Amino acid sequence: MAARRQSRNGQKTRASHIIEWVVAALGVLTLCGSVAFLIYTALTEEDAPPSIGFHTVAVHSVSGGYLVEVALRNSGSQTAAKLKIAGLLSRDGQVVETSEASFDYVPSRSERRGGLFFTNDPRKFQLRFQAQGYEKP
Amino acid sequence: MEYPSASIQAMQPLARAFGGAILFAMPMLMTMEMWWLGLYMDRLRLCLFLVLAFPLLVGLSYHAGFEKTFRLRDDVTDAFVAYAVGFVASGLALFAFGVLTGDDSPGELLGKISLQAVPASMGAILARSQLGIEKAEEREKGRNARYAGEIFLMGAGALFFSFNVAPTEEVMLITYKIGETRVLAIMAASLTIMHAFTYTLGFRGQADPAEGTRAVKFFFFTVVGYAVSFGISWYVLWTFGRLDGAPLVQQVTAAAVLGLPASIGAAAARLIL
Repeated sequence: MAARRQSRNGQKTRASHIIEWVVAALGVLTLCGSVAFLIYTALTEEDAPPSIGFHTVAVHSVSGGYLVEVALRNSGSQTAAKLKIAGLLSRDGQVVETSEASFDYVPSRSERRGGLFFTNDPRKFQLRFQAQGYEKP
Repeated sequence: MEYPSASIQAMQPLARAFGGAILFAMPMLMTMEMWWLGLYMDRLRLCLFLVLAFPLLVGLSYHAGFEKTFRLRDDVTDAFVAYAVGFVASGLALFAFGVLTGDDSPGELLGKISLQAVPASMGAILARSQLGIEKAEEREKGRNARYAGEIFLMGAGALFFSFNVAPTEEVMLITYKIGETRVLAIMAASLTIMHAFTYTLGFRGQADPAEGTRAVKFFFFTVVGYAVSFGISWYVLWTFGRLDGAPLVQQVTAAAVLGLPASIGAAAARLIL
């Protein structure tokens, strides 16, 4: 009851005082930490264009063909928007089938996943991926 | 139980701040352009925005804070509390929406959250005065300080309202479509709406018509307020990189387009806060 009367008068109880200080300290940490991190990133990161690396996550049989799950990683420091990628199945240097996909955003140093559908079994061919083009956001 | 226990009592202002953060930031938390901007916008501009957000929060705490504050130190503490609450609330919401994933880099996570944390923390600060029972008593302020305070609140309202609209593609799309005549019309409309909101429509909290002559009020509040809104619109668009590579006339047009919601936000802030 005492606590209630106190808070009605706009006085802080001891518990609320401690909580407030803890949360405020958290605020100092997040704000200053964010600012420091952003400045550090801006200063150390050289302006490298998007560079896309691929790896196959899994190949599934699906109705009407096959699905290749692919993960792409942008190791550049710029974000690629509207990135178009293609997967090519080939045998003896002859491309048998191509499949395309596009990604809204592949941010720098981040990974994005997608899938490409094929009618031929990718496991029986040579599969390679190609980044085709992007827009600078 | 007759009364809530002391620990619940102690958590109440925080919970209220959290509620305010969610309430104010929700439209932006659910705007995909905000997520994309968080990851690709210029790091130094984002950094500058965070740095500028701090005095804004301190000022808001002073004028409309969620704790009765009498000293600068309390306002600074409140600003940090609000930022922490805004940051956590934004992070939780974005995580709940599946916007933050394990594949994101630390920079991406930080960008997405901290951009949202600013409007969210504005909501956290305002929660006390708007959602709470108590309202900070009007302090003794000089005439000039009160005027500066009003312009400050208009700026805060302009920033908050323009932030809802600025990330969308539509602002630039309207800029491309609008043409010179309509821009001038929109600017005139902004001024008219602002003036009407503050002086003639009879909203609660409206300025006392007795103080100052009509022309003086129009200049000192409406025109100055519009100039502030226009400048803030320009700054927000620049921060989001929307003006990069655009000719000056397009930059002015875009600022005028965004200036419409910004000035309405400015006028409304004067009434509400």
